[in-house]
Parts: sequence; structure tokens; C-alpha cells
Amino acid sequence: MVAGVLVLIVVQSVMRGFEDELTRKVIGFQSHLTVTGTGPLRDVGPLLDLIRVEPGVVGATPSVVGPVLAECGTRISTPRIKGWDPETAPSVLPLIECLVAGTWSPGPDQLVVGSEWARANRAEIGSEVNLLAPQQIKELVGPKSGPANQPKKIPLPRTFRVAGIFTTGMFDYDSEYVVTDLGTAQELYAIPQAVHGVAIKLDNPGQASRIAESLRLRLGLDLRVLTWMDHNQRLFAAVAVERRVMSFLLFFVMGVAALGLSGTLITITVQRAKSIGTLAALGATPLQIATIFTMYGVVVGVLGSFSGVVGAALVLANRNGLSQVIGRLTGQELFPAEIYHFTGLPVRYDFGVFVGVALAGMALSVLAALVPAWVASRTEPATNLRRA
Amino acid sequence: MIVPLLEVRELRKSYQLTGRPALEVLHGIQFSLNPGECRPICGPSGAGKSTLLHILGGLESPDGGEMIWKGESMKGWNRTQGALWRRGAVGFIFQSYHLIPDLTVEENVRLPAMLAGVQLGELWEDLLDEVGMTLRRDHLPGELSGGEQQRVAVARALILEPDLILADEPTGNLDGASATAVLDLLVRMVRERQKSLLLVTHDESVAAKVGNPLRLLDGRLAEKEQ
Repeated sequence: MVAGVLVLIVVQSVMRGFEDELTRKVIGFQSHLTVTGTGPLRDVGPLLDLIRVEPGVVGATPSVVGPVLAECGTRISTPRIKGWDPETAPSVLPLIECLVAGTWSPGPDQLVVGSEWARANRAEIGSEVNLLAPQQIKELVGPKSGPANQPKKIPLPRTFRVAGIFTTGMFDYDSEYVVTDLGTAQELYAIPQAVHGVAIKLDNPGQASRIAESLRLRLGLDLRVLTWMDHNQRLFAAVAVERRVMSFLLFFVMGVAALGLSGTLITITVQRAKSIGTLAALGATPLQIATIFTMYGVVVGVLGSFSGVVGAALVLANRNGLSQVIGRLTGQELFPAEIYHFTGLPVRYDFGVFVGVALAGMALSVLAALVPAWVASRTEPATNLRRA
Repeated sequence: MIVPLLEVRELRKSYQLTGRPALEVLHGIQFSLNPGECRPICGPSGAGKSTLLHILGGLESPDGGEMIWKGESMKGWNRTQGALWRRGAVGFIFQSYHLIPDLTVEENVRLPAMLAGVQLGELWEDLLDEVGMTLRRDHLPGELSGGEQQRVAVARALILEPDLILADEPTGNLDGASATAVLDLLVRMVRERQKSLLLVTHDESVAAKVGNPLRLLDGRLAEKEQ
């Protein structure tokens, strides 16, 4: 019972901590709302003004984001390019704070790239990167345009140099994004004076759904407003499902412990048949005998749950030290920082989890004791005395 | 006219054995016991003496017949009613003492009162003194001799001053001197308190010290009580 309660609380707390950390990173490095249309949005100025006056909105920036074909040295990849408007983007995306090398100077021939993308493509500050946008690829593989007697134009990739490298701690961002200035991104995507959408930052990301609904009403049906939760629905759903499945499985650990307790108590009813028969001979009612055995369950449940809760609190308090010890013993780091970007194992101390798991442990122990208690109370006293 | 303390009418009991015909242990047992009366139940091994005693004390259900306690039929009582009746009316003494091994002498003696939720005052100390176990009050049963354990069992049986003491071969596990001492103590204490005693024994000399015997042979009383 101790192990069941301990493991369930530790797993629940760490998984919830992981969710919190994930949420913190998502809402920290992603816009909280995005407004998009059915195609590129032209003359986005009035739209930005309309969005900025919405209560709860602290920043809005035009956004051009999309895949490009990149060549860095001998490596080919397909990162997503992001157009950076130096006037408005810093109020929405805190990427500048994530710069770990070089300078934040996305421009017509300069890129700031994610650290994981840089690592995978062996890019360093000053490395040359050639980008081919979808429009150029379309021209390359599509039918020839213009007079029939003129040769087909072959679009050349645009050459950039890596000016800076950022690390957000989110593998998806760090491995997928390269940043240039907004105008260059518009040129690459052949949408001059237009953008793909508007990225919005809120003072309270938890209000994203409410504000999104309000914006939908104000902006009209032609525009689509998505929240950070919509964008990461699958990720959060996967984490939540994983937590529920693990809890469900670990609940069986407690179930097995309860079965063990039930088996122990049934053995005790057989071993202590003489005492049970004697108690009955002395005038103990069936209820009193059942209560004695149920109290076994209560005592085991209370002590087991209490020990489990204390043990879980100790394990959680020393989780990073324990994780290092296990890592040293097994020769493998349990949560490599370069993959998870956690300075420590995340945790959320939720009073409800501690109390809920402890109560479940106690309830299971009492339930486990009920069967032997019932058997002990229903057996005829003479039968128990004969067993002796 | 004296109302019998316990009246037994046509008591029958058989055991169903797997793959074999039912074994009839008691065939229409009938007798009565007056308040303050002490009677041994004699008979050879397998005569059904212990089964009869268990049924009389409500530890086992009869297949048929009726028991009447102070004029009231006990037929149809449920287990809880039986337990509550046993608690106030009957004191048991067993051949193997049946003390609770984890409890001290004092706790074993006080156990019936604890189960009944009765405050005892100094009665338990007087009883321990009377059976000569005061100095061993903090000992566990495992630390006592057979004679000492049975003296504790006598004190336990009398702690709530029940009207009827049921003793199942109380000297069966004791050597000669201890057996005599325990039996004398039991009979004396029961008589002094004017309680009734039914004592199962196969030993005629024991029976002779208790009173007019009920003789049980093959599940039948040798002469039916009127």
C-alpha cells in the first residue's frame, strides 16, 4: 500500500509538473491568439488597431510563417521561416530573450536560427544558408510562363548568413524555426504588403478562449481566431491521456496491494480462528467481530497511506538528487537537459492529489478487509473453535 | 413452581459429511436445569457432549428442537441476539482454556466486560485474587501453566456474573493435582454465587464432585428428563 500510494502521488505530481512546464513554455514562446483569413491578409494596419483595443490584448504583430527549403553546407532541410517585425514582434514573442549566440538582427540577408536546427545542420554564426521559398519551387517545377521563344527562368535561392542562434527550450521551436525580417519573408512568399495572419499576446493566457470568442464576434466570420490551446490541442491531449493512463495503471498497484491485504487478513481469520471463536463465546456480536477485522484494514490503510504520502513528499523534494543517483547507477541520464530542456524534474505539489490518492488507498484497504471481516463474522463460533 | 433456568426439548443435531450419509450426533435431547443447579454431562468420547454444550451456549445451531431460557423460547433468534444473550447469561470454560494469546491475564479476564461495554470497578481484581492470579496479572497466557490458564478462564467466565456456566472438560488437559484444584475452585465459586453449572466430562470422579449427572450415550440421554 505504501509503494502504491507513493508511486501514484509521485507520478501524478511529476506529470502535472510536466504539463505546467509545457504550458509555461508554450504560452511563453508562442502567441496566445492567431488571427488568419482564408488567404493572405492585405492592409493589416486597421485590423491590428482593432485587435489592440480589445481588453486583455497586450500586443499584436503581423505574421508571415511558412516552410522553406534550406541548404546549409551539404545539409538540406525544410524549416519554417518567420517574418520578424522589429516594431511589434518583441511585444508578442520573447524570442530576443532566448538568444544564446550572435546578435538578434534578422534582415534581408541575415537569419536568426533555432539552436536545434543549427545543431542538425552544423550551422554556426556566419554560416551561409540558401533558402528557396514555395513560390520559387512552384516556378521551378511548374510550366514555363512568358513567350515561347524565351528560355524558362530558373529562380535562384536566396542566400543568408546566420547572425544569431536562439534556444527556447521547446524542441519543436528550436528545431523548426529560422527568423528573418518581415519584408524578406513577404518577398520569399511573394505576398508584398500582405501577411499570413496576426499574432497576439494576452496579459492572461488563461483568458484566451474568452478573448478569442470576443474577437470572432468583432472581426467577423471571414477571419479565423485560434488560441494557443487550439494550436497545441494534440500535444496537451496526449500528455493528459498519458497521465490518465499511467494513473489508471498505477491504481492497479494499489489494487494489488489491497488484494494482498485481503489475502493476509483471510489467512489471519484462519490462523486466529480460535480467538475469533473465543470472542464469539464471550459474547462478541458478529458486528463487533467484523469491526475488529475492518479495523485491521483501516489501520493498514491509514498507516500505509500516511507512509506513502510522507514517502512521496520526500521523493518529490529530492527528485533531482534521486534522478542523478539513478542516472549514475544506470549510466544513463534519465532526463537529458539537451532533450527536455528542464533544469530539474518538474513537479506540481497538488494538495488534492495527495489527499485523493491517500483516501483511495485507505478506501481500498477497508474494502479489502470487508471480505475477511464478513467471513469471520458469519462463521459459526463452534466451527472456529473446532478449527483450533 | 420454579421456572427452570434452561429447558431443552427434543434437541437434534446431525453433520452432513461429503459423499457419506449425514452423521446424527444428538437425537431428541430433553432436560431442564434449575437456577443454582450444577450437573455434569457424562459420556464416552464421541457421545456428543461437546456438541450439546456448544448448542446450549448458542455457539452452534441445532437442526431441530427448542431451548427455553427462563421461560422464553430462543427459537428464531438471530446471531446477534444469541451473542447478546450469551454475553449476559453464559460463561464458558473450555478444555484448551482459549485465552487470547496477545492479551495479559488482566485483559483476558476483563475482555467480556470490554465487549459488553461494562464498567467493572474492582470486581475483576477480587476475582483475580480469588483464583490466585493477582501476581500474574501482567503475564501473557503463554507464560502460564495449564492450571493457571484454566484459573484465569474461570475468572473470565464469572466476570459478568452470568446465570449459567458451561464448562467443556475443564480439567481434561490438567494433571491430577491441578485438575483437582481447578475443579474444586470452579465448583466452589459457582456454588458460592448460586450460579448454575453444566460441566461436560468423561471422568466419573469429576462428575461426582459436580452433581447428579446427565448421561449421554450415542447422542441420547440415558434417561429422559421430565
